[in-house]
Amino acid sequence: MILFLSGGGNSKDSKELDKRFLDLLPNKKFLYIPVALEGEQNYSYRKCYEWIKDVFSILTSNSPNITMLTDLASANMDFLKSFDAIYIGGGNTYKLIGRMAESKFNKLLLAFVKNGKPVYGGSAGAIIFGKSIATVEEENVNNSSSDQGLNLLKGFSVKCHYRNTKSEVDLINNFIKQRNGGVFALPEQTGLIITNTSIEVVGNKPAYVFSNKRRGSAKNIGKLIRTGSFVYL
Amino acid sequence: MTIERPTSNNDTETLKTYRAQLELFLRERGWERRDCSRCERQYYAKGVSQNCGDSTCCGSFEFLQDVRRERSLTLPGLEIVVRNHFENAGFELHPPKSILNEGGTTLFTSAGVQLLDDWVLKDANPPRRPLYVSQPSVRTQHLDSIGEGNSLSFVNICTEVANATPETHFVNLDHWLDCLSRLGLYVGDITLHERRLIQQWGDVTLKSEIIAIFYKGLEIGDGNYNYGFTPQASNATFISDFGFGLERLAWILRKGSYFDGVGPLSESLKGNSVLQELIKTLTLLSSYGLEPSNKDRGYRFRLFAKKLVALTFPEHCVVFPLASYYYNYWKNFADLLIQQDLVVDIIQREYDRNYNQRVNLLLSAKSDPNCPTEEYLLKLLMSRVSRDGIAQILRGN
Repeated sequence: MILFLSGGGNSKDSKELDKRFLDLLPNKKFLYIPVALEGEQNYSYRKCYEWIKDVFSILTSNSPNITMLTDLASANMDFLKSFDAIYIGGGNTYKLIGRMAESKFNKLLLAFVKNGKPVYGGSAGAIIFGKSIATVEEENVNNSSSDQGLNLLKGFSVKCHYRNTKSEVDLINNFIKQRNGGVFALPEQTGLIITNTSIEVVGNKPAYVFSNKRRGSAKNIGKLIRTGSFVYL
Repeated sequence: MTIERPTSNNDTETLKTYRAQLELFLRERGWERRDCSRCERQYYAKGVSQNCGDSTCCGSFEFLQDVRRERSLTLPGLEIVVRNHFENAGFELHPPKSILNEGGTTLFTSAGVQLLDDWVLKDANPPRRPLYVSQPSVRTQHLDSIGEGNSLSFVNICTEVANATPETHFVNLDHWLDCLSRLGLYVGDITLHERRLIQQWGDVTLKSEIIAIFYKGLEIGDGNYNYGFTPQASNATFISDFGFGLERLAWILRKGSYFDGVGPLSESLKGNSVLQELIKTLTLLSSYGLEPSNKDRGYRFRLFAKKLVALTFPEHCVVFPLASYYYNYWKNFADLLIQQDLVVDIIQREYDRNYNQRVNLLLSAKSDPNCPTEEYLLKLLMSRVSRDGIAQILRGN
């Protein structure tokens, strides 16, 4: 498994993580899923596509080959295998997980991850990989009864756009009290590269780890953190 | 047959016309929309079908359970039948593009539609007639997933029509279904899946309405209606692009292993599909003049040779028999630029270089690897490396 989880900043914020992602792709060919932004004001799929192209075209002289898929129900494993990676964009997390469930794309995605090819999740795209998406409960505008994520992070959930304020800390601690597990809190300027055995922080700010009310931070950006061990303040 | 350029260039209108034509086509020919009992996705079918025809829903490649025909066409024989079918239908037979795809958007040619690169990406005029091509193709993304139905290199049999209306596109779908029927694939066993993408073609963005065609567990091809090209500097408008894998069609007809059709049977029956694919692809690439190097196309050549060594080590492979076989294989589909003996020599040299480097690594030796392996081993023996040490490596101890 190799997951790239971005804290949800702009292209400058995620540049290092984006570069690491692109460097892993032998054919620089990935599938882009923008459905978290479906129906959002001022967004069109065409704009999404132009945006993703701009983000990655500045990172390399060889333009990456990006295909955008909006109709998740039409994908199958053969189709996904033709890509080096999948990039899941941000937006409304509940909408995203809902679309994936109703189209059964979530099962294809899990198989793709299991096959070892990289998947990049930005903001909502990152949060869905956690145990629960209720870290962004405020996005549940349609009162969905399920807040289950894909649960690939050994019981941890993900919070993005984290600013390390007291109110956020309190919210996260309440979340953990209610649900157990832990939370990776990612500022916009940071991201994680997660494999089966390690977590690496990539970016300009530390990532925060919450577990059973203890707060820690990855002080040394770029330091490899073995799953299960954390650096505390 | 010539094609009149469609007058509408509005994406929404195009999509509306396409969908209307699709509904009409399917209705008139008895295709029904159904929900797959396994994955619940929608698909179209004519016959009695329990599921959508995808292998995960079928549980296997169902066609393998069918009765094998007494006589099966060879791959070149199959290609001739398909080619004649489209020539008789008014398509112009177009020679394939060079596998090296100079000036194209990918390192290697990976699909027949890349024939239209100059029209889409530059300022060339579009072809006025519908085209048929049997395009040798390389898809490097399959390097680590070579297996039944998945090749590193294959023959993409395609029809390409520039400035195609949706109506033309569905006429082409009819041609392909007729062709498949002629080959022995019962249309009642075919299922159609729709897909919609935004894709890139170099710096050009385009929209694609896709019909993926499945036969009893295997996706055998697809039809792309491409439109909405931006920027429009190249004047590209609409493309009807159909492509199928010749080897996949042969597999359906022959049963057994996908690699039996590729051949030789002496390798496929032993399950040496990765070996087959690597040497087949190296032969194709060097037949077009590609030499190994440390970047771009040449680097991929080097990578494939390295993988071949990793596959066979400590055995030392003499590539001549298989490279010769595949040279003749590719000659059926394209005019190769380099003569056979040179092709074999290029592959063997690169294989030996990688083999020698591996021995160097295992022995912590620094002998020059850039020579035939026999010569390299002699140099090693003349140096201070122990004979027993070398022998152990070559025995795999």
